Amino acid sequence: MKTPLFQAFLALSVAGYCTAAQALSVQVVDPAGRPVADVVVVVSPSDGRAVKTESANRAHAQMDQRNREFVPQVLVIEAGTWVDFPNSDSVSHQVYSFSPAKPFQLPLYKGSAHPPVLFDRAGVVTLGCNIHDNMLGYIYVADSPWFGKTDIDGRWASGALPIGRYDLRIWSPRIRDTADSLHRLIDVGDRLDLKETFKLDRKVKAPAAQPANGKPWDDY
Amino acid sequence: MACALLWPASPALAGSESGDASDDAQSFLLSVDLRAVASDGLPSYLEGGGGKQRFDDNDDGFHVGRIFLDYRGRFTDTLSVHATLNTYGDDDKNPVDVTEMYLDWKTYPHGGWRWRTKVGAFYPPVSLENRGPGWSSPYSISASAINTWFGEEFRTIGAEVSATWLGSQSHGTGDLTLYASLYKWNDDVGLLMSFRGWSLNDRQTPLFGRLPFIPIFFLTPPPNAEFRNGFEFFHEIDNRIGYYAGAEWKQSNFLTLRATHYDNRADLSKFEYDFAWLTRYDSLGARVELPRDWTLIGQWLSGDTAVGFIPSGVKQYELDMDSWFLLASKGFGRHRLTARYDDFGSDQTMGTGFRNWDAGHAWTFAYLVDFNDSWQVAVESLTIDAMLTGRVMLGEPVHATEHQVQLAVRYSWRN
Repeated sequence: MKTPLFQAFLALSVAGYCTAAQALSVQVVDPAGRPVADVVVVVSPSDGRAVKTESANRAHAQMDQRNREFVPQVLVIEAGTWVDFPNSDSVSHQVYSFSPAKPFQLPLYKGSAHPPVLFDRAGVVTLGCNIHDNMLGYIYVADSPWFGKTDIDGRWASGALPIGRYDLRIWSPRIRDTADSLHRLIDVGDRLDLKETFKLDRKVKAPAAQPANGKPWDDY
Repeated sequence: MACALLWPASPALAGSESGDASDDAQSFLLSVDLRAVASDGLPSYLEGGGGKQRFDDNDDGFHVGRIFLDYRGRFTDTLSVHATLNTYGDDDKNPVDVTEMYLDWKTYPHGGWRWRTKVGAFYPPVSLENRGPGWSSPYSISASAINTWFGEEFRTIGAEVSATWLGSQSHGTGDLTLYASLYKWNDDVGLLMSFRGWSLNDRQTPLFGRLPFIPIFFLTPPPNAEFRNGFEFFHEIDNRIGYYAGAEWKQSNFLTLRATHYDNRADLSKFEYDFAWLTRYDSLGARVELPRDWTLIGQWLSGDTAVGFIPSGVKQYELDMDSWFLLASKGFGRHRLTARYDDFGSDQTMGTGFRNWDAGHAWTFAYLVDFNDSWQVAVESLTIDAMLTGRVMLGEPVHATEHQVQLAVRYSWRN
């Protein structure tokens, strides 16, 4: 998880942007006005120009396996990030994805090395385990260095953004709203307080129950 | 402080560290279950009686509940073998015997679909209860009437192919699985149901196992009928292939729905030491898992079984059977409470002489506590209130309410 300070550093290190910068704060709430946590927020330049930071190609992130769950359930990274799958469980996993952004298969056996996986194309990568069908995880690969997830208050704040026009997107596997209402154009200019609120039209899905709680129960 | 860093902080950590040191291509689970039992039941079917419980009023005291070894070996990422060896300490024919042994080929998904093929001896995918190691139930000691029947008389000895559409991955919905199987060596299924009717217990008949004959006479068998020496279930008598097919809808951990149609396609004219029992059923099941560790399971099954006169194959006997149950279970951390109501009955719709059928219901209450990964204690109260008309021939009351209380102390060891 990148800190706002680190993000500010990233933002400032991006070549070609002027130094005038402004922070953006985003909040996501459900139809009843309650905050929705763990929602991916991505801010990218609206003209589609690639914003590559030098650090992205060296970045590592982690998607762990604990008690037969992916931890975190939703990981957001910038394209070009390597992701480690350490497997903290005492049982094996066979992680796979057939998402177009990154199809792969990665057995996580005890005692055998499993290399990190490079995610170099933007998009949502859905992860499964071929041994434990209940395991479901997501890696959101962003095409921008400005991203994060909402906190327990449904809020996320960007680091400093250079002046310009941006595409602001939110995403979560729990959100049922249509894609159209989940992104908007914003102008980062001279205003001091840039706040955006997404009020969802439809109730969010409940987090999946985990009654087996890591117990070795089969489906049959 | 240095010691704290050097020494594993917990048994769980120690387990994972030792696991790191060796490949886990092979996994073993050894489980030992010892029981203290109190029962007022009629002489058990395991003694050739008409009682519907595993333990009867002569069994008060200590018993081996079950000792089993569950083995899984991985040949490749997608091909593995699974075998379960058991002993029950119930004077079984073989002290140690196999309940399941099969090859499991589960491909990685391609284009949102996954194929799975099982070849060997295994259970048809009907039970939504028996999901613990060695096909045990994590909710209680004794299985429901329906799933007890599966443990006792059913085994797929053949192949099952399933295709799963992984909609949970591709569309955020659920997974749809279609499955179908071809098998042989299950021509005796229906035998125990015809004599004893439904039961609730935790025994699974091993592949080479035998249960005692219950002397209720309602058939006209040839004189060489082997079942009078004991009930065996996994024979091929008519050289006909049976099948089952079904579908499952699964929504993450929340909802599992399953429907199966089964027909062993037995030929009523064939007899080889035993009748070929023509057995068919339809079953439906639902499991709902809610927040706060609530689990609700319901299953329904309706079927029939028949045998013919030899050699004409004209039907001489037919039994319809139906059962359903509802189970509610709640986990409280390491503790679990379960209540289950079973309703069951059979109706002999054809026969030449005496008619043997049963009807009843059962209440099961269980409490299980896990002290750690190795030790578990389970307590279960089981009350079966049922009639079995054939008890008349055994000199037993046709209608009886049988109570059985079990305390199980279980230790499991994993490599």
